[in-house]
Amino acid sequence: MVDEITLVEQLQNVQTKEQAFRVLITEYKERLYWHIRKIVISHDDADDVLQNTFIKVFRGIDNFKQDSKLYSWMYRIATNESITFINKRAKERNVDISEINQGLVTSLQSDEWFTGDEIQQILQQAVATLPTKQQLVFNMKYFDNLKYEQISEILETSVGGLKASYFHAVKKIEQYIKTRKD
Amino acid sequence: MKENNKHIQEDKNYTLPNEAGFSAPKGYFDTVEDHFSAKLIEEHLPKNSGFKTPESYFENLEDLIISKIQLPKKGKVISLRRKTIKLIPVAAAIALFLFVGINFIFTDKTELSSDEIALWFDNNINAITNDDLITEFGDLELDDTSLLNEIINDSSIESYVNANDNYLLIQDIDININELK
Repeated sequence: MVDEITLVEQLQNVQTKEQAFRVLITEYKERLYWHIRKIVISHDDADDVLQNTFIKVFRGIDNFKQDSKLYSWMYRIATNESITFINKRAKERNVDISEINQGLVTSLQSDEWFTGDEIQQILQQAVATLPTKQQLVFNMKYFDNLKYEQISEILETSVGGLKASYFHAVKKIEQYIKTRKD
Repeated sequence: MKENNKHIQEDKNYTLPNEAGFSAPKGYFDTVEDHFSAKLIEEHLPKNSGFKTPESYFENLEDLIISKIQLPKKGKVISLRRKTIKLIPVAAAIALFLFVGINFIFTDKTELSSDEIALWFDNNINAITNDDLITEFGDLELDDTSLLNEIINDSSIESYVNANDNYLLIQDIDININELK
């Protein structure tokens, strides 16, 4: 794996851009896909958003100043693209974002690309009840195993704030699961 | 009981020695209970999300994305500004055409002055054949027109004669005379 600084240099050089971009996709496609997938839920939507994310990365790489790490910048683009996608869908259907999220997890029962058991499905439903910020923090910390410092750089939020968000998210999830079991 | 309380009070007052040189992040102990509580809850949650992808989905993703990115590179990139400037003459021509066309269609032709008609004929006389005239005015009675009511003064006739080929004039007069016979 090429180091990040070299990769960015190659990405910003017309001669090496395409080849470096191929390396970049290979390196990040799965991580970004799963990050997006947990927000938009459906595979087809995740596929669209992932492609849009990489297209935006390609178009914006010349303006990338390396103020943040490359992966943080890409995660940020992926997050924004996913949230924009959900917001757009909510606007089209003239409903609230939480309604869209609930609808998405409800449709998991018939989703051929979801093989989770009952508890996994309940967990997804519980996550869908959370405010967007808490959803993001929970997914990135719990499923993606990112460190608070990494999440902090991606979401541009303090580590203390993230810890509080994560704790609230976990408590709400626990409460939701308890209610469902009772 | 009181003895126990005394020990608890002593424990609370006890400060940990920092002799080993270790330190904890600022505020760590403020959230440690939450952190611990969250860990306990996590133990009961599934670690896998349950999502999956179609088989081989990730295999050709590079080619797919790069093919989409290369699409705009094949065409010539024209800036919006340059494109707009190029469109100005076209838009002006369309506007002029529509203006003239609409005026031509919706304007009452009887409002054209004799001078305008004469000018148009001067400019387009070569484009009009006798057949065109017959087709357009085949059923027109000359008596019904007001063309002959126009008063033509002598100086106009003289100018016309001087400006035109006399031979053609004689021919015209000859035809008219023969017709009169």
